[in-house]
Amino acid sequence: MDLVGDVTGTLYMLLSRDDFEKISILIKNISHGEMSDDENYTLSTVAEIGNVLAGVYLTSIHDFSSLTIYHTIPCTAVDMIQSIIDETLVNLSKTVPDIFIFINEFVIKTLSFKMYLLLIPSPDSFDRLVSSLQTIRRGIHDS
Amino acid sequence: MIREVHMGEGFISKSPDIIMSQGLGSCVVVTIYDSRNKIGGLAHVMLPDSKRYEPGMVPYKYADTAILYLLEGLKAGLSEKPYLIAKLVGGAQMFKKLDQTDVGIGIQNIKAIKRILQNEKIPVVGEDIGGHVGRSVEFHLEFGTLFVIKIGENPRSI
Repeated sequence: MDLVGDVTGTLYMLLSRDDFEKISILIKNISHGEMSDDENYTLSTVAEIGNVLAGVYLTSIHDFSSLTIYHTIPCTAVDMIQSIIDETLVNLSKTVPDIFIFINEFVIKTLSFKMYLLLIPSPDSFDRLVSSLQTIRRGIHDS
Repeated sequence: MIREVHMGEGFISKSPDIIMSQGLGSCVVVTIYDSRNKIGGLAHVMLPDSKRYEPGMVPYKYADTAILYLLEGLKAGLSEKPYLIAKLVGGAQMFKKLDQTDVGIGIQNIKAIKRILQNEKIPVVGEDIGGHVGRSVEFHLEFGTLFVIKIGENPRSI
């Protein structure tokens, strides 16, 4: 997903093939087997999970920092991780020094899976984001 | 010896060594091989033109400087231009963009590398480029064979 608003950049939601299969099983159970063999349906569902999670994370960042960030419609790809994030790394390779990594574990009854949210801000946005977070930290210390 | 080359790196060696590079997306691997001396070089190119960016100390990162470095390295190994052949792999656009007019960095990389090789009169004898798929490569210097590996497919040689 591309980010727009006070912070621009790219947001990835990454999960392993094994965890993708776990979600497939979950969807199969929810849909009573009707969509069991349709990978596109699973991909679409995963994209929607990403859509919702991204919204929650960006709202959380807004609550902390007062920065308003929106995201575009998610695109999906099943491939090697380096290939997937390659283009973003290439475009930012000469300027962006850091990446925020949020590691999440979701437990649904006995089925757990991990997802990684990679927030890669543009260079200008990185400074804006960090300075906003530093302002909050100073506020916490002062109080 | 097996040598792994990462993003923005390059390496030159001779038979029977193998040079590999993993997880290509929009990046392009360019190999140049001299079958007479069994010497070859591989560069994992990230961007098309060093003049549009700050070159820094990473010559293999840019198409123009990467090919220049490969040719200089091969020349030091006594290779001569008439015996050199090139192969290209990568240059994908991993996500299908809604905006079809958006020319990805992968296509720009491929165009730049082909233009430079044409100017240098080095023929491109094999390629596996474009699309929406990630690739890994193994460059076997005994015969200059380049194996292309994609998820869910058997490796193919070019």
